[in-house]
Amino acid sequence: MIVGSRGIRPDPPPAGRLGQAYWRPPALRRGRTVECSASKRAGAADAQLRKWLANWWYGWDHCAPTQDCPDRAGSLDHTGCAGPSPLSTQRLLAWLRTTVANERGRMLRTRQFFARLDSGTRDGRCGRTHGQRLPKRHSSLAFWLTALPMFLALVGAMLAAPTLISSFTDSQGLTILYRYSLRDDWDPGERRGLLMYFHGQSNGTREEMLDSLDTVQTLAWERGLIPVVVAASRAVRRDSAFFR
Amino acid sequence: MRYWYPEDARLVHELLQSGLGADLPIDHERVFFWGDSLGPCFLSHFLEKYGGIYGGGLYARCGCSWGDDRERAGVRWTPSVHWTPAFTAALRDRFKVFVQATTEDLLHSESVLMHDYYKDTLGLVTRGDLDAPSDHCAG
Repeated sequence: MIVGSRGIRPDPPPAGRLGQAYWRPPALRRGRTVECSASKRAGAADAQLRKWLANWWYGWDHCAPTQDCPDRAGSLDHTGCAGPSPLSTQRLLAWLRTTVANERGRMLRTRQFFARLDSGTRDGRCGRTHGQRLPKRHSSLAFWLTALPMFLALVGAMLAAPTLISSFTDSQGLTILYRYSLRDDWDPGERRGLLMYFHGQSNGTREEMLDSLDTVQTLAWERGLIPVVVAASRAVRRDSAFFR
Repeated sequence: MRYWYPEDARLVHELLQSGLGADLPIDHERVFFWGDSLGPCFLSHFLEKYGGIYGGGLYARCGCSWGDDRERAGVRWTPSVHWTPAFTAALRDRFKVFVQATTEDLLHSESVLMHDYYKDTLGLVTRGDLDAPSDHCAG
């Protein structure tokens, strides 16, 4: 036990990355565990994709395929596993699904891809919506042959996603620059919420903000929100590199 | 220099009210604010003034409350909403807060204060992730 200015707390978390990611004081964690059914659904094929992509993409990987997900406090919606961790394979898969769906020419391959993913379900309790289970000896090869070109295509599509850059001057005469993006299949006249990102003092460079928009966009689009990154008004004037 | 200033709050508010300057139909009940480092410091100021107008949530990552003094003790505190218990109770179902900071973060104590302020003082639905060991805005 630790006695400090914040009162008595439990011992520090166990060593190891997973322990650090999940550790909570027992009083906070008890009774708040929800099952990560979406991750279970992804199954064994997802495990491969998870390992590969999570390491490639910032190294964040909080939600193991068969492990219960603690109710990540502060999740922006009520999806339980969709906590504050910026990216997980669950989210990435959702992003893959929605982004690929915009590419008509690749629709068929998309369905085949996710059909193979779904067919890799371990226990079937989470439901199997597409396709049939592939013979095990072919699953890995089929998965990689399909996933690799698909993923590369989707990264390209993401980089080419239309981003709207604009400025706004308020009644005080201050000007703000901002970026936002809408999905191609969205009706601009439809009322939507926002996920609005505010940078820090040291992460407002162009590259960092582009990175931020990518992350914000991934999280926002899968929730039907418009991703927006904004620059402080002073940043417009004193750091022109922000949106150049 | 990428500093947020108090007057930027009105700027952001008018930006939202203008539909991102393009008359986009914005659902003001689903506006989620996410800030890193100085971002939450500014957002804490913004929410004091305009928080009740927007439903949604705040994700404050490795940040702080505005200024060295508590917001309401400062001379700049001119809220557009009245933070009465009744108002806060009505806001509770519309707006939730998540505060995240790591223990070696230079702003960790500020984040703890921020978490306690939203949770205990304002009574909003507030959660925190404040015990993971790492540096400022890492992990």
